[in-house]
Amino acid sequence: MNTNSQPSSFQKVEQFIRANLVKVIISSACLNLGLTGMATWNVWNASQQLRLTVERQANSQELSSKVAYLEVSFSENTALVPGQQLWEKHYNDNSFDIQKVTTDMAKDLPASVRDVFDQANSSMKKLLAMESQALQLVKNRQLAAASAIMLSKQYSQEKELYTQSAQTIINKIKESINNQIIAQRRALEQSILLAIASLSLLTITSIGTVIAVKGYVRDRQITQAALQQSQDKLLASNLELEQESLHRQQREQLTRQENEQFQQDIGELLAIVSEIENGNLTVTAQVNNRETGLIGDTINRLIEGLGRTLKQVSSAAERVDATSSHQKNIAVQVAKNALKQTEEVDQILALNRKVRQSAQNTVQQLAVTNQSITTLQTAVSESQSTIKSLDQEITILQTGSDRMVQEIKTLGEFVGLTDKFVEDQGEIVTQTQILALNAALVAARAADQKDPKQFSIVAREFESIANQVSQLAQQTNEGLASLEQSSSQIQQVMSTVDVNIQQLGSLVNSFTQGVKQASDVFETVQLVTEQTVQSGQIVATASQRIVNATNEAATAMESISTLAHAIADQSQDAEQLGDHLNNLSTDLLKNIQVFKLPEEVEMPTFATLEPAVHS
Amino acid sequence: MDALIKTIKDHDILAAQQRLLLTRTRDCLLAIPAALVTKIFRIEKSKILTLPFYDKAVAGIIYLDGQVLPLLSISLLMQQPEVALPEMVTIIHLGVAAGNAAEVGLIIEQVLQSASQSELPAHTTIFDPKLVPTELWQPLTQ
Repeated sequence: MNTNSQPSSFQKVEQFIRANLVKVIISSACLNLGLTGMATWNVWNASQQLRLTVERQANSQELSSKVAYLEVSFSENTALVPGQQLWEKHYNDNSFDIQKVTTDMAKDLPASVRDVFDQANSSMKKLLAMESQALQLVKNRQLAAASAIMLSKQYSQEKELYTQSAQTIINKIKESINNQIIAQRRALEQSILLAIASLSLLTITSIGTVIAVKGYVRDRQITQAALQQSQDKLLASNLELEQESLHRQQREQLTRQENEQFQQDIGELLAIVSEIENGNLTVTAQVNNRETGLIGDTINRLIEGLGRTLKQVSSAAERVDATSSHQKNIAVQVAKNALKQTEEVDQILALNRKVRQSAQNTVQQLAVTNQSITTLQTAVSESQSTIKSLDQEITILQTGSDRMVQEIKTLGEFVGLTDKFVEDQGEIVTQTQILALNAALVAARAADQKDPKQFSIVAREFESIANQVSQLAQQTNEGLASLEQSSSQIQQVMSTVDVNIQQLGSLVNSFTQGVKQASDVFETVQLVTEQTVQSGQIVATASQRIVNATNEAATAMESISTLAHAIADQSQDAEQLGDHLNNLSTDLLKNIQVFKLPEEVEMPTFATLEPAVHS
Repeated sequence: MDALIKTIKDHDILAAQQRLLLTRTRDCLLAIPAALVTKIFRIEKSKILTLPFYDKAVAGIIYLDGQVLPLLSISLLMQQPEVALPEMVTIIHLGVAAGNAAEVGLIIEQVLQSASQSELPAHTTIFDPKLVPTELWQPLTQ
């Protein structure tokens, strides 16, 4: 929604036109002139073309009519009227005319009928030649020959051909001219339409220009009215300013008069103040309803207040003298504080004795603690030696167990070898079985065949089988020997393992004894530690008592010190205060004597200040 | 593949006194007539050359005494589940009397003993070479 923020396209156009009004008017006028001129030229051009085309058509019709007339008047009578000079003259004139006519017609010929024209022209020339020949024959009084020529078939054919060609040409020309007329008419209509459009555009631009000019004129009128209004306002404000200036002049005169009166009053007030400065408090200032009168009233009240205050001061100074006895009471208080201080010092001494006693108790407890710690140290050293021996035994145990692990590994290898031997033996058994079966098969085949050669073959087979069996037996022996060796090694290993286990057993026993010893030592350590803890607690309690006593002593000493400082300060303050008061009272009395006080000033009554006595 | 083996009562080949080799493959007992057997031997599994384009029952071939010997797996012929061969394989070499299975090696698990027909344990099946299918020796088309 841009109705308020952005103007519409029509408003934009209107603003542009108003901004460039002159240029728009000039450009629209030029455009309109151009369009009008172009339309006018188009219309004139189209009308000219149309006129030419119409003239051409009329000309062609005339020419065609002439040709027809000449043909009719000439060719039909040629054969009938020979030998007449008038006719000859008429022929010569007409033949020239017909050639001229055909030449004129050729100018307007379209390209499509050029062939037909050429044909007609050739026919015409042939006809003219025959006619010239006939004419010559007629001149030579050979009428028959001339008639024969004129009435010949060739002549009539050529005549027919020429007539047809001429008619065709004429028709084509007419058709062309009609087409041109139609085209020209259309062009004329288009020109007229263009002229109408130009006229409309001219009208529209003129109306738009008129509207823009009217708007411009209206804006000018509005602006002029606003200017007139502002001018009227300015005139009114000028009148107001003149009235204001007259009023200000009157007020200035009044102010001048007031200033003179004010200066007079100020002079009187200055005289009063100088009298006061000189100490005369009996003067009074004039009071009126002006500001200076108010000042005078204020000065009068000030004089009264000042007199009252001075009276008070004089009475206070007299009382200062009377209160010097208060200092004596302060001295009494100081003596009492000193007594109190002595009592507190006695308390501190008693506390110090208590601290000494507690310290002695602490020393005794510390001796007991030292003894306990010494015992603990001995027990710890014993346990350290026991732990060292335990470490050694553990190392031996570790070594023995490592050795046992290795020997057990060796046992495992031996067991593996034994497994392999068993497998090999199983294989040997299977092979032996197969050999036996093969031998049985061979023997069965030999028994079936009953051939000596086969028997020898069988014997050889048995021999090879026996050799294989002996090899197998040998392998078995070798395996058994290695197994026996492995068994003896296993036995050795087992005996070694047995010895190691026995050693480990003894080591474990000694380890157990060592652990027991360490346990006893640690029990001793625990007892001693408990004793040490108890001693420590007692020492801590005694120390705490010492600390408490010390704190109390410090507190007491602090209070004594504070009291002593306070006493000293109080004494000094009292002395200074007394001196200061004496000086003040002396000066005050001197100053007061300068002033002359009125007699009617009342003296205020104050409560008497009694010194505070602390018990 | 139909079963190769028939019981003693249904077969004509077996005589009452003929010796048989009693073998064991997995849980099955198989008796092979001794007349069909040339020899029994053991060979390492690595010596067997497998034939990938043949039926699984054809375990492979070996080179023995200058000749190529094809091997058949009795367990697969008896339609038992396929198991891996041990390191040392026991093979029964069949002779020319075995007909369709002539010059063929049968892979068995264990040779137990030589026994006569009457000594065979119950539930023992007897090997008939006529029932070894000839299409085993043709490579598989797919």
